Amino acid sequence: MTRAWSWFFSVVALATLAFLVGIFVWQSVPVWQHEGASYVTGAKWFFREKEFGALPMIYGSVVVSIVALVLAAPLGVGAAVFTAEYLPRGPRLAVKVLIELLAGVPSVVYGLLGILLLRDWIYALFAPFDLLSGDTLLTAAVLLAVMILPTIVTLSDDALRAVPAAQRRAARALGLTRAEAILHIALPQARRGLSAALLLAMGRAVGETIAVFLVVGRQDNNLPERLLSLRPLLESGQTLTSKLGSSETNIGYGDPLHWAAIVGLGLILLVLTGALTVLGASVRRTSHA
Amino acid sequence: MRKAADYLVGSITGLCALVAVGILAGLVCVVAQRGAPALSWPFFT
Repeated sequence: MTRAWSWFFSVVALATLAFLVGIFVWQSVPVWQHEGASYVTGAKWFFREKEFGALPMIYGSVVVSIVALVLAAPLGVGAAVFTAEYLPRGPRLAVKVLIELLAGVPSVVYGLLGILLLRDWIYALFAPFDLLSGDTLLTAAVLLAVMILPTIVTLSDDALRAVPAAQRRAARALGLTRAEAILHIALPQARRGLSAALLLAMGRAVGETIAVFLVVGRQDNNLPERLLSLRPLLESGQTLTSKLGSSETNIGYGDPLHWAAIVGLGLILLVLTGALTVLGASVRRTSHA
Repeated sequence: MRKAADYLVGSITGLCALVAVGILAGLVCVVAQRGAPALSWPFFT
């Protein structure tokens, strides 16, 4: 009976997701017909001229999320190693509860903190690079790094605690130091769980809207000539989420093509975050198997 | 040498944990510090 209910709810969940994707695909058909592949590869977005290229926004979302992950991952995994391997049970739970509470801070509060502190810090720190303002892709990335830190710490801690204690004890009995047991036993065994933690954190970073919206600068059509250059990080940009959160979404509803372009951005975002979440969840499940 | 490496790993990960908790708790403190002066009975009513 339980198995039947489990199947039923799985089918309902999948059908809901398929329905959602179907609506997004259906609503975005006009823009795919109008732009074709250049909807994804085009660099210009001028809705009055009926020109819709989403590449600068895809670039913004991907770059901001990757930089956030690069900044947060070492700190988060390091903190998780300390809580899982060094702290006794009491303090470990205290730190974990504190960090999990902070994961629940609304993202708009992080956005306000970004405006309050981060924008000015970034502007002052990179003053030699002639910044136009503190609203940059880097500001959004640093803010996102802080936001995904609790996710990385808590999931990495879970992954490390899932490694059987007997293996640590065996390693210590063989003469390994605690650091050697961590580096050669715990971390390699928890690598799938750690990868899942990073993927799920990146999924959160890609989908984050309001905090990014407040500090990214929201400048359209800012696709750098050299995609791998670091300089564009110090310029304003636009992400998929900040575009979708802007007033253009309301404006676009009146025009079928413009609306389709907006919904198309939602579809791209859905595919990106969905892929990361599914990948992260499946890697995590394999790590528990 | 192994003892030093052991100590180093412990120190680095401890520092990471301290920084992580420090950043997150610091942000809450900043919100409280900057937001508290605005809070008063007329503000709510």
